[in-house]
Amino acid sequence: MRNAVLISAGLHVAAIALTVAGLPSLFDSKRIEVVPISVELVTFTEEEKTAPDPKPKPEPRLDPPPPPPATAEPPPPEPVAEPVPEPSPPEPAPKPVIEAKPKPKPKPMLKLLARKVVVPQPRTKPAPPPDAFQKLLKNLNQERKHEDDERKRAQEKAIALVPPSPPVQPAPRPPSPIEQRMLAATLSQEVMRQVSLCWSPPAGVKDAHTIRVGVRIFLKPDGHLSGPPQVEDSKRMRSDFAFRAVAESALRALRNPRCSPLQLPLKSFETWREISFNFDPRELLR
Amino acid sequence: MSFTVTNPIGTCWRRIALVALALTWVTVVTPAAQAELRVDITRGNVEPLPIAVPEFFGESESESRLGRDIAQVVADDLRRSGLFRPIDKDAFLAKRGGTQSLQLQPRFADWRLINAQALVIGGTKVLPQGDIQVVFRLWDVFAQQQMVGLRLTTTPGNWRQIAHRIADAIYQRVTGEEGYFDTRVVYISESGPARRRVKRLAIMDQDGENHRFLTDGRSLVLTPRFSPTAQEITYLSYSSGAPRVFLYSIDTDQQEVLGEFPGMTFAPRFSPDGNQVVMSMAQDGNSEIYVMDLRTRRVRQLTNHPAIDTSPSLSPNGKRLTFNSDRGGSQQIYVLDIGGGPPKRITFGKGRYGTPVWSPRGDLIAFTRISKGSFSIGVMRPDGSGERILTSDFLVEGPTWSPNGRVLMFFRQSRRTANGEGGRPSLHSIDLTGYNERVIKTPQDASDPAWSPLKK
Repeated sequence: MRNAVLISAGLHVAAIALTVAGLPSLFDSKRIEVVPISVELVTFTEEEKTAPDPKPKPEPRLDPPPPPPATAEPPPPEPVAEPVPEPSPPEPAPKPVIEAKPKPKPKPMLKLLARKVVVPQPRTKPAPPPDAFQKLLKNLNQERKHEDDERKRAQEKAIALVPPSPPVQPAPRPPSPIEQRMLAATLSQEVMRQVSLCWSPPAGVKDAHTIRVGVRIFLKPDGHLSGPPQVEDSKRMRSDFAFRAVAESALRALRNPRCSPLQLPLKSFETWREISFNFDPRELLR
Repeated sequence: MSFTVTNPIGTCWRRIALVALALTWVTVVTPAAQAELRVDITRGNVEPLPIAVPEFFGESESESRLGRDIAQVVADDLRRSGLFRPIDKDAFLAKRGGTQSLQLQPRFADWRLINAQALVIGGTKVLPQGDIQVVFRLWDVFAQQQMVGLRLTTTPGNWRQIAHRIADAIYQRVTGEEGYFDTRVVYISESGPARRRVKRLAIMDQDGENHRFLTDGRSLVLTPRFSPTAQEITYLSYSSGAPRVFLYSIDTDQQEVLGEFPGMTFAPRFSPDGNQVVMSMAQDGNSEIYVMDLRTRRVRQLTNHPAIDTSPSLSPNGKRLTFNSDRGGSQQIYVLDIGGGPPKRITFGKGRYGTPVWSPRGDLIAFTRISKGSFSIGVMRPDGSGERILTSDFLVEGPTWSPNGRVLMFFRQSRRTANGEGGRPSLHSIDLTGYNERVIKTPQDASDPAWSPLKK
């Protein structure tokens, strides 16, 4: 009898131990379902191509200026010698390229934003139908498992190869951070040299020592601007006319045919495709 | 499967480690590869802005002539400022500068080819009732955008003023500061031999046009000063034998004595709001500074010192006063807080300093310095720092600011040479950067200029 009790107790303990050991794997399997979300970013791009994307496509190439400056009719001209704001009459487009259809002005901005957003942003993706989404998840899971297996195998191989021999370095490695920094410094000097030739800040502007203008540009591989330069402090641009004068001189420098396109080595295009300028007239306008 | 509890936890840690590694890669390595290039631009070439001002379009012969004249005045104004370089008309690719219509966008490529960075397109029209209407647009050639556009209407005789206003609008839009072309200058016109010099009050547009005399020269006149808010002048006249401060209204051609003051009155100057006049008065050999309210005619003494205090000028907010005094042993410039407190000396350079004039912009004080027998005109900050000499000569005196605080006008008199050349005073203007000094043409010798505010 006593033996029976002991056996029973032992079996109970074993059963509990088994349960405890088994539970984590249950939780684990749940977690595995959750994890794929973080992997989405990597693999979605291919999938995305298959989905029709109706929205961002219709963006025209680039011709922001077509619509004539249609300003509201100001107060009527006074009979005395008083200036009146000019009511810009509608401007029929002189160039054949210009569409009669009124295009929304902020196009170039949108285009710029679109460029920035190129980094995968889940929200911007068009939502596929539910079954497609399920399929996608399944594919993802399979792909993830496949990748895990591969990674394990690679790790095992790496461990096997670990013996204290010099590490094998692949030839086409990207430049090190130090190399990157040196390249950036060299390019920065070159850009400064080229743009300085075209910058003519307004002399004698009031409080020049307080003005510094940040301008961001995006370039094409041929060195041309791929969109209009963006003044970072657009709010001050509207409220501080001295700042605006300096900022507009900076924009003219960047658009000046003498300095645009910028002459830079194509092989380092990735480094100079986006340039952030700081125009500082303090030394020039003492 | 899973016969140990440690396995899943180990997997978990591995994952965490992998994610951490990935994050490190993203935040450290990727930005280094893809971040934008940062470039500081601290150098450049301060050059006048190349601007194209083709003739304004007009349909009839008279409208075309008017358009040609207006465009010429606009271009001349902008050129004289030193901040613009109007492009020679011969370089224009388009016939008549492409002014066929204001309704069309200009052909920017044509203007870029001749290095124009700004473009003014305008048109003139004679209205049925005889008035003239002028429309213009200023374009940014590189950005291909309109910067400003105005329509102005006036009587035909007033076309020069319209042209000055257009130049002011362009100047303001490009430089961010108010223009100064639609202004006048009052000055002392001098003629006759040195011993019997005839001095008359004269007035003209800032470009020398529309010149006329305000006094007949029978009595000596000195130190004319424009009101900063109205077309009125104060000046000193010896018409009654003793010097008195007069107030002259240009619009009505009427003048009045500001008041009978004991002793000698000198250097009157309006306050920035135009409601007061500061001046110095000498009594018993001592000169002090006073302020007079033009409405109540009440006078208040601002300085009290046995030394000579003179040449007062108020700051744009009217709260501070600058003047010169020899209270420290030599003539120097001081700044006084009207609310109270002792005057503070701000000049410590070599030589004597005088005639301080506070800029309408408030950031600078112009002055005259006399050192080693020659005169200089310069500017400094109100605390005395940043002193810069703009011009020097045998005699340079009487600095007056343009209403936007950007340009100084003064008179220059070089030393008379042995063969009798030189030695005649003439008016000059100079940018506060020290560049672009220009002679202002006057019918006779000229001294002591005073710049008007912008016409309303």
